[in-house]
Amino acid sequence: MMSREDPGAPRSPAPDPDEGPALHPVTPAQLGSAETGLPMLRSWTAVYLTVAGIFVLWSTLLIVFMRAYS
Amino acid sequence: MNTLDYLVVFLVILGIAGYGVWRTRNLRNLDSYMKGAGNTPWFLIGLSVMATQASATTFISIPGQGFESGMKFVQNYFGAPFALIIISAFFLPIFTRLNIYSVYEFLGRRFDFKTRLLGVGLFLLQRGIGAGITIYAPAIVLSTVMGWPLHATIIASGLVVTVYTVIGGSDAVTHTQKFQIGVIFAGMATAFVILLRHMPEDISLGEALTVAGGFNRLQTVDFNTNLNERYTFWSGLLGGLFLALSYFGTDQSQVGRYTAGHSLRESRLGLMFNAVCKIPMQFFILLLGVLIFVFYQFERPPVFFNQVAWAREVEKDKGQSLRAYEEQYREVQGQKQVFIERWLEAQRRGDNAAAVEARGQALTAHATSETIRTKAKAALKEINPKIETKDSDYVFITFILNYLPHGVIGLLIAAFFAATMQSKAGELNALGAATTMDLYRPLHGDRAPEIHYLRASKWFTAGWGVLAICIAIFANLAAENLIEAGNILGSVFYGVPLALFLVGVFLRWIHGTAVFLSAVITQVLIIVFYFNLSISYLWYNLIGCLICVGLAFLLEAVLRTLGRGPRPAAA
Repeated sequence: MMSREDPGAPRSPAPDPDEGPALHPVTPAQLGSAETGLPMLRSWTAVYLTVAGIFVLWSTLLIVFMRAYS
Repeated sequence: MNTLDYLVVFLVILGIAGYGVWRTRNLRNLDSYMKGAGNTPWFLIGLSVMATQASATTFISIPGQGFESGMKFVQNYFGAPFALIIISAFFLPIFTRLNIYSVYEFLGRRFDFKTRLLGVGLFLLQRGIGAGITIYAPAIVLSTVMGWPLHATIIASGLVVTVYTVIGGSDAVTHTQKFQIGVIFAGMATAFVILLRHMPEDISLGEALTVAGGFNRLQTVDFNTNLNERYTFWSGLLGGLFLALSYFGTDQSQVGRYTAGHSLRESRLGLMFNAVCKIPMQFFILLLGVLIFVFYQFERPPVFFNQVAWAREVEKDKGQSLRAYEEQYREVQGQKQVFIERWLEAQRRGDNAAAVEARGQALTAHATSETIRTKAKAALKEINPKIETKDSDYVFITFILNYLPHGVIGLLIAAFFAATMQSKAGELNALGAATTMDLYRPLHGDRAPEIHYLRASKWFTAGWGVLAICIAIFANLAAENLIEAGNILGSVFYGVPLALFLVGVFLRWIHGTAVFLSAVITQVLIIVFYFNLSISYLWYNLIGCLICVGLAFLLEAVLRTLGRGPRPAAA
């Protein structure tokens, strides 16, 4: 199953057409689901937007801090 | 340091190392050794990622950076949250699905074995030297200030971490890191509180920050588009994005940390924890340095912070020029203190004109005191041409030893050792895993049982630990600017691996031969550029990545036209 060009890759289960084949056995629990398990932030897109929003908040607070004491 | 301090240092270091060995005493299989027990929760992953990146240099040098040039350095981390989002959204699902031991296995599967070898080769070269510098950088500061023998300091800190990393593998690294980072945060927070208590009684925190702002130490965000400015919002966002993508996305010492999660969710949350915490963490470390700067406006600072080296050269100084500079500096510092007190008093009574005037006088006195410091350093260099005159690394440790109570001094010194160990443990674990899985196992033919590769991995980890100690010892003999040489090496060799992964993840129609050739050509070009161009080395990471991706496009098209390349992928 492995590419002949990569002798280091051990045996693997059947490939996934979207993500490429697995190198080592992987359990469904490891892959998990799309659920984030976070209240209010159900999708990962929402989590990433929140993290980007927190970056904007940090930047704003840094500017406010700088202006307050300059 | 007294007996209590030494006791704290030994208890913390040996206690944490002992816990790591005890915790992993039943470890028997390769999977657990390389990736942990598979039950690591997100907050431990987050701490482990943070701990691996934050070496002792972070906690010794960055306060010094805050003291010397203020808060501007915080902008360097502005790209990190976005890099971590990209890794979490695009890289991590692939790494998790492939269930890799080493991130370079992805290159082998996506392209071919030669590309995998190139990726792991660049990693081993750069991280192998980096592991030596991780030990050397704090050891040189600690041994100078404490009067400890340098080689003994290097060997002691290097051996302890090597032993528990060899025995316990990834799990030992993760579980010791949570205590190590706990000790570091406890030490830094205690130093912060004691620093505030050491400020003059009539100076509030707000006034201390006003003084810092008055001396331009609180410039946190600079939207300047001048490319010659090293720390701006834009260089931090763009340069920092590429640097963080390279480090967190393609360096096994980091990938090995977050792929230890028991699910994709835990790994992602661990990364997002860092995306949120990285900027405030660096802010507080820099702020500590800025407040030490303010503290020394009311207390007489040494003219040169490496006081051991200063005292040694003063002995040799027959012309007494160093003593003369000391006197001048003390006098100007005294005048400056008077101006600062006038400035704050004027501000308290709302007299803006008087406050502006006094601040101007304080700034003039500060410029004079900085000129004296520069002249003193030049005189020092004249007496001993081999001396390192950059003393900002000694600012925080000088404050610790002179103003913190016993016990807390021990806690802070233990924190610096813990930081060395947590970072080196992550690096050693990654070096051992990559050597075993990307070099030894493929070249050995993958014929042996798992236990054979487990033993091999332990031997490789031990070998890298010993090599790192040797590099740290020889670093002292090689060059005083070796730390910068390590950073240069990182910038010169980070761009190409990032390009390999970006092409691998996003440009699926480009194949192994094209990307391998472009990577080799780009790496040679970057080395030629480094020796012939005069741009800042920080840009080589971005330049290398862009050239490699562009060349891969071009070569893939040429190879297809010539009919020598692989057929287009079906999916």
